[in-house]
Amino acid sequence: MNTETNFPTQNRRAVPAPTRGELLFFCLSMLTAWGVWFCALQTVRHLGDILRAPLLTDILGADTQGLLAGIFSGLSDARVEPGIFVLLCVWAVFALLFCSHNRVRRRAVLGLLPLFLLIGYILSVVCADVNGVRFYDILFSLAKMAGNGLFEVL
Amino acid sequence: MKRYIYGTFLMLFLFLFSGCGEQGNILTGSSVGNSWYVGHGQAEIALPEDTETDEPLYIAGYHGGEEIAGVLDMPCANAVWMGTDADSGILLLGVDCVGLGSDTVYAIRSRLADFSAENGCQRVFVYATHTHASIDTLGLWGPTAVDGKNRAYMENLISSAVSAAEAAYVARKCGALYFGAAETEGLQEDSRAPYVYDETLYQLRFVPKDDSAGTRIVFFAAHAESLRGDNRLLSRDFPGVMADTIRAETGDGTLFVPGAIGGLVMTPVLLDESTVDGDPDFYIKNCTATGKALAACALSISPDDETAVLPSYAFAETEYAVPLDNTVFLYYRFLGILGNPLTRNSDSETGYALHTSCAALRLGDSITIAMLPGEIFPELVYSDTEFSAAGVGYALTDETFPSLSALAEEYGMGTLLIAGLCGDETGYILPPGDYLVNPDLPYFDGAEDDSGENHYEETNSAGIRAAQCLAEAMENVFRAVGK
Repeated sequence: MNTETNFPTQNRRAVPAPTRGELLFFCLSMLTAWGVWFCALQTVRHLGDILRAPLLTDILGADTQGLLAGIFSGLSDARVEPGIFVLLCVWAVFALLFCSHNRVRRRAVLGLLPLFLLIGYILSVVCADVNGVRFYDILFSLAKMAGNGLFEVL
Repeated sequence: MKRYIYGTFLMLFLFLFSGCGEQGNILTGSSVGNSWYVGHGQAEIALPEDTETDEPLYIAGYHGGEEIAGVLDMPCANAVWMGTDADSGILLLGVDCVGLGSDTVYAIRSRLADFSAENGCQRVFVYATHTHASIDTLGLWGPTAVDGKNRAYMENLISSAVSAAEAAYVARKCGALYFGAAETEGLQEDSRAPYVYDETLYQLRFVPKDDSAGTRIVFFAAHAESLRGDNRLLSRDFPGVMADTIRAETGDGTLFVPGAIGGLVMTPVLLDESTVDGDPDFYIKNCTATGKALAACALSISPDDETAVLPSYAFAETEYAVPLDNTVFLYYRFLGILGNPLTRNSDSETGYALHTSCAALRLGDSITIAMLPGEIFPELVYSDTEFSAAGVGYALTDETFPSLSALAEEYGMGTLLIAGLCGDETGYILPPGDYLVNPDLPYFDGAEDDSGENHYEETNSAGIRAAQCLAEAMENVFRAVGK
């Protein structure tokens, strides 16, 4: 018998408050989110250094390698969008509140926090503003021209 | 209430999606006096000490990632102070380099802000002589996607510009200004049809009342690349030889101003090319010959053929936005190489608009200098017919715009002189009807039309609307100057 369906109010009251472990996990996740957001572009920037590896010169060609490495290194000048992180946090808090009457859902949401962080990380990088240009505009144009054979020509 | 909301959205829409013709405020100034007060100042741009920076000194103009191999002659910043009384004036600053980004020009103007306030300088106009034998001052000739500018050298450049400006102010003298012109022959070639270029060399010559050495400003439409593409020696190219020759002959300080050089107007090889293989200094001799030929042309202008320029000036300068189609320029901005600000613009291929500026400086009642941010195709200046704003596969519109000389005539600007690469270097400015980009890799790779004509210049242009936007902005400044 599904008591939740029949007695939702009683059942909500019956569910215990979040445990210390859950709260700790939530706080740590938020702190990690902050750290990840803060470091997102710094870490991606190292892709630029990695792309400059001599090993890749033969594979990509010097010009393509230079272009890609330059673009990722250019992310070090990015102005990170705090709004994305704030949005992510608000989303997570609302999700937790919404599910606070149900431990299973609550733990599922907590478990999904790393996924939110990943999404936030990707959004932070993709939406990064570098010298007034959004990184997604660069990615779109690169993708468009990659389809037209840019890298073969370079 | 709804009307206000809809109105607000409409205004926001118009603001966000307004394309070519976004105009900034027009900055104006003028002065009328009884005599000209003109002074010339020059400062060499020193190379940075090895210990100052690890950044290489790349040579500009041709190939990426190549460093200078030596020095033929040192680049300079030249300044001319022009006033119609002893207490105020304007500055024209010419820098021996391939081009200057708007950020560098802004830095020079900022550094001169106190000087301007103290000495009544109404405006500082900065341009590049476009010598291709210079250090990379635009950042485009480093390795792929790497800013080629040397920060220490750029700092020296800015300091030299400031020193030259201060020296010009100190050296100002009372005197008369004359305008003259001379026809040249065999000193230009155009690499792209239609073969249009202005063969006239124009000169503004200041003669101090005390008969001491004066100042000349020489306008001629040619790329300063007589040393050609294999050169690795730092040089002012032929403008340097021309200025040195005029100084040796007359004592006058000289500024070279590049005119309408797009498309691509340059000086030919003046020597017998059959000797090029056996002579390692062939192109240095060619540079000397070119500079001396132009100096001779300037010196051939007799005082009898000159007209006095009344001691008055008026200027107007405006910012404007060009829909940015060139993806490579977008990358340059992303990488911090391009200094121009960008804003969102739905009317362009990249989704951005590039902000730049242009100006008009009227001297007396018969001369106007159009100060343009790039290398304009001569047909856009001198054509008698209007240009269609529509291009091949682009800009489906019935709009047309006139040439700059037609605009100048309409607003009574008198003789129109062109100062290219002034205030900024936004690349080539092309007629939309002759604008063709590679369909697969626009702006990365050149294109060839049905007649076999190479469309290289488009790869170094902001976009197909650059000419139309410039014409609209110039109309505004001509109108402001004419008032």
